Amino acid sequence: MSTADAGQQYYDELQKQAIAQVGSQFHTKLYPVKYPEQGDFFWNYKNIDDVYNKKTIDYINANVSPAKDISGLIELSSASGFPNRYNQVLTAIAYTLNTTDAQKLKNAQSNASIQQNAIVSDYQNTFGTITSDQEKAAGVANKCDYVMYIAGWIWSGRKTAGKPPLTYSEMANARSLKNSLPEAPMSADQVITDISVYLNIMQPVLAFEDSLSLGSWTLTQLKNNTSYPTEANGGIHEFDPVTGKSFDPCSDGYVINKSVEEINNGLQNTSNSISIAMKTSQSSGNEVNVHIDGQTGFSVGSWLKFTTSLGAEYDMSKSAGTSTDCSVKITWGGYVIVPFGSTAWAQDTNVGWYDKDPIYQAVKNGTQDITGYKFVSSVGYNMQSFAQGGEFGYLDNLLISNYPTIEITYQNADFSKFKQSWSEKVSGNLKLFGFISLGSFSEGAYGSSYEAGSSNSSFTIKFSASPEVTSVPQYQKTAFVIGGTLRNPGVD
Amino acid sequence: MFLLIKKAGGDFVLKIFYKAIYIIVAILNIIITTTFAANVDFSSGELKTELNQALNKEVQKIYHTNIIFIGDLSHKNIKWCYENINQYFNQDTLDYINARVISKSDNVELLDANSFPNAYNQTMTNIAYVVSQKDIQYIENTEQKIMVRKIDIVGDYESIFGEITTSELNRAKKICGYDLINNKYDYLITYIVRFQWYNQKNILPYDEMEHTNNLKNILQKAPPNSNKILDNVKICMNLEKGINSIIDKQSEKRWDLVQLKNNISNPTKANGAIQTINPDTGEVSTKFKLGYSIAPSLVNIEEDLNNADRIIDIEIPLKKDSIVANVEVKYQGYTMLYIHPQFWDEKNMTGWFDEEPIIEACKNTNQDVSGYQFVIMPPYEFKTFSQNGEFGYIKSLLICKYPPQISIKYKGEQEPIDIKKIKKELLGNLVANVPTMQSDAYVIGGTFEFIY
Repeated sequence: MSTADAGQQYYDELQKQAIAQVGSQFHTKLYPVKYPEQGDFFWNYKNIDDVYNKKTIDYINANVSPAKDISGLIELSSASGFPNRYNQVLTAIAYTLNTTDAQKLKNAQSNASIQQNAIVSDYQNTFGTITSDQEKAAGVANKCDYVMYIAGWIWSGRKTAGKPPLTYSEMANARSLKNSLPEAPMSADQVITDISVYLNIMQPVLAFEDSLSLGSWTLTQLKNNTSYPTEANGGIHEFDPVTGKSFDPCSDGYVINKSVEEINNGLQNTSNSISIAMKTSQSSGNEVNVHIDGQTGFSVGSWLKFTTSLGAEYDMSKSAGTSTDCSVKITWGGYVIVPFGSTAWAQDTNVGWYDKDPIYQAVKNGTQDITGYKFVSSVGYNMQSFAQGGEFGYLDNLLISNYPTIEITYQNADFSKFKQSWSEKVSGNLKLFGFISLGSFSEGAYGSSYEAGSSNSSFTIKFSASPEVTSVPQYQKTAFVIGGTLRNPGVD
Repeated sequence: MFLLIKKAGGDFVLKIFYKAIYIIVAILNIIITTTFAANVDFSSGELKTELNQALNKEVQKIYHTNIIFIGDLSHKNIKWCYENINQYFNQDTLDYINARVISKSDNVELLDANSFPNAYNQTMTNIAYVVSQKDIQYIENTEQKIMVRKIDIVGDYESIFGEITTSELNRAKKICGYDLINNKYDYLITYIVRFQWYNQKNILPYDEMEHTNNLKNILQKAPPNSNKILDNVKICMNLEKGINSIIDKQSEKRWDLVQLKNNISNPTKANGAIQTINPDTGEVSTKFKLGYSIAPSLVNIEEDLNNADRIIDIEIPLKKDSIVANVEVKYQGYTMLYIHPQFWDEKNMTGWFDEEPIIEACKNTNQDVSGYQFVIMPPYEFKTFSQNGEFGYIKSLLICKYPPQISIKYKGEQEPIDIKKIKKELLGNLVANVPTMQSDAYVIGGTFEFIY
């Protein structure tokens, strides 16, 4: 059986236990997270100057897609993966009219043009033919503009008042056109009615144009705010948790909806816990049988490896004094849900960078002949849900905890031998089934302690967070990520 | 939060109901953690219905309305202190209340901050005032009738009083103004009727002429043989009135829409938009945002939240086999926040929210009627809550100071015991000494308006 099968069973059980505890708190399914290149989660996310911890943001702004080797496992991209992909997706979208609406726009424009002719015709029948000299003197390009000029200049009373003529948009936006033209002659009624009808006929044309320009303006602003975050458009500043130094250029904004104090309180409350139990035994050859509670079981070459910061590696079923026969309990204590989100874009202030609407609508519209946001070029990603292999998603909640404790109770072992070769003072990192990191830290995330059993053949060893990892400076404190929930903007 | 279980019939009995409690706290969006007996089968749907009904029974008594639960975790708490001393609106409060609301059949989901004004803007942009073919036809036909009458009026005048000459036109221009006399009809109406037949001193204002019941009464210098002309003038004016009432209505509604659209996309101090304050940094936004208002006053809200006697206390009966118990849920320090997007005030030209154009457009679109119509169909479902509507906004939120206190009472026993192995973690409210602007209140539920 492959390590992928081992991982599958481990993550399935972790997901099951986590969901049993907190699953119904979430709007969507909780998935375990494959250990990412960002490492663990820097939960102390903001300093007293309200500058964000870069390492925290690097974690939550990753793009989410399903892991290739294990189903139902979240794989995170590098830092900033989501905003980068979001920008690319937006670039592939345009706001367009469908065939029917394009035809409606043409018809509306054509009706408006017919009405322009009516204005000119009624004007000329009442006031005489408009000459090219009159057009020239008024500085207009055609007869309809001339009538508008006469209405805006003479009939409005602006000429008498020595003011500039009413503009077209002033007339179009007037509450009552008739009241805006107090000096119109009595015979102008019909022409004024014609103009009013024209202005109304133009409304659908303007609405089409406004919708097109709003759609394209929205896309431009979203792309601009995502690519060039500033304080003015809602970008945030970040600091390096090691040096404390703030970075000058802004990053795309995020909001974490839980205070640092609440997260800390939650992590302290270690009696809140999620556990997985498993048993190991000797298999054929060099392999170990592993049976996780509730799963079918599998064989692996090594089920747990402890690598010290000095480079020494201990296989926990082969090291001196250990045995392949043991019961194991992995416990994630002090778990906390951390909800967060990207800075939502507001059209009124043009602040923020994230708005799912154009993407959601473009995916929904697909290749249908619909007016609205549509993909004009391929994005090259699966835009569906995570369960359907969606490759465009972001995290919106993380379930974090302290580093898990691993308690191994050996049978058929040799405690005396083990004691001679094992040091409780050494710290290291743990890998489950050869590839699953249970946290990581340069000085070693785990320390160990052991306890004798009822006879020399039985003893217990417990791995828990090392003093080095618990004593790091405030902004470098990390938590283990059990899992998270996500959203796929294309469908959710 | 306290979790007390009154009476125990041994661990077995307690475990029976752990899952029920677990489901309830999950519905209420509180995290409570313990090892629950996984084999007890209480349906979360049933419990949610029970809880909803029991809660609404109490809410009805107080507020005469039903509330709906909010399903998503990120909207569990609200910053209740919605403005500072300088009346800058709390940005976090605004980010909560300006979310678009989507119905999820038995609860609602609130989308991202700003999602309601954003979607409202897109929707309003897609609306135009459209004139029906019927109205256009009516205007055309009436104009034709008016034109024929005008020709008649000039003809009748000339047959009675003689042909209108160029010199008479020029004389009239001198008296009434060159721009007002362009042709024989202008001459007849403006110079003859409104000047000569009026008082020969000034021109009778058109409004006065239009609104009089008897034209002949105010045109005292009109000769006796002018009756037919004046009758025709009155008929003409009435026909024009018919057109004008349509045109005026169109202009008014068009103007309304233009102003609304302008206020939505260009919020300013003058049109009633608001500035916000970042509750963490105290920074005041330089840009204006579409405004909301919240009632009651902060003083009232704070008093209610701190009033230990304001308790909504509900009990849900649970039965499993022969074991009967009541789960008691207490919400302490409750109060209702009434939330309004800033309504469009036509008189002062302030505000941005008016649902009428959308409601009218939903009704009118694809029909030959004059009125607001969607020129482009917006991408939202304009339906009711029960029809899974997608275009809702928050009308009110029922909040309380603390997440609910939950206890179980077993019938016939009195002694309360503390179940120490049940641990809990609360989201919010437990952080001591946070500044007022950052203080959270627990959101029990709300009422929501869906536009359709």
